[in-house]
Amino acid sequence: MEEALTFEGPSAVASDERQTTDRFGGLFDRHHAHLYALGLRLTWNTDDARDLVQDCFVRAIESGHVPSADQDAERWLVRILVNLCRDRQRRSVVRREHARIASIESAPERHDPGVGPDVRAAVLALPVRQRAIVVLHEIEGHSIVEIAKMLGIAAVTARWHLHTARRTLRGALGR
Amino acid sequence: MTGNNDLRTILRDADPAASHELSPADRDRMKAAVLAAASEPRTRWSRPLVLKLAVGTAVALLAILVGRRMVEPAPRTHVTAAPSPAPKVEIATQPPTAVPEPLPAVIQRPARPRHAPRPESAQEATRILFTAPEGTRILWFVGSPPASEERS
Repeated sequence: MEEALTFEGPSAVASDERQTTDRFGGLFDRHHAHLYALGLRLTWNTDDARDLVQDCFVRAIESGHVPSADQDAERWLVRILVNLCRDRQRRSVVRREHARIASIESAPERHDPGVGPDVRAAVLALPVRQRAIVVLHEIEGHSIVEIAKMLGIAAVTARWHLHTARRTLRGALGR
Repeated sequence: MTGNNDLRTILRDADPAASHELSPADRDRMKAAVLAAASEPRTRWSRPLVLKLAVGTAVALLAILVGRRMVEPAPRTHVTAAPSPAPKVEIATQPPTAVPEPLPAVIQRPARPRHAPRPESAQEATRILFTAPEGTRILWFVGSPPASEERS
């Protein structure tokens, strides 16, 4: 991707676009299932998970840079998805605040996966970063170091977030 | 640790992604959207391109700066005035003597007659002097013949 310069003839540009399309098509085929599952675990909502995955790939395309190694690409996509989820969370907080001020009740969420409401509420009450670390560690089984690399934070920070999230979840679930 | 294991078990049991997979229709739709976004023409700022632009800008700025410096005159050096020496204080042991002022220079001019001399060809005038107790009055009759000659 780094050698892609746009000051070339139309045929070169077309072939470059084809390469880009093929590259992102391959990325989508390899990583969409994991990203969708992660999005679903972070949002507990199928619509939001779908939007997150699509926005994640669009954001990746806009950045114009794809790591060469497949593992690095997966980490990079996970980081984009978690950041998108954080952005959505911030926006939804603002929207909820506006709705509260206007005394408008928010619509009930659709396509809620059939799980216990207490676990769902406890997980969704966590901040997005803590939620992502809990999901990646406890459900997906990634190590702390790997999670830190995915999210671009220090391992100590990731461990502290995990500890805080566990304590919060235990308190919420009564364990 | 048991608490962590319990928590892990609870979370894995409640995993929302365990029973939900992306349907093929949704996957195809999402892939089509992603590929459409990838095929859109856009300006890509690759690293070599950005580097070239930065180097070009730096060279242009340097050339402008050097050109301006060559055109400009030498920078002015600020000359600081030397501090004025302290006034000398002389203690006079004797009273100051009066210095005679120089006399103004006398300009020698030719003496100018106060009244211009009466020209020779001036007309003769008759002067009559009246003497009265109130005073004396002189009358001049210019151009007229002397009164003594008018006696005929």
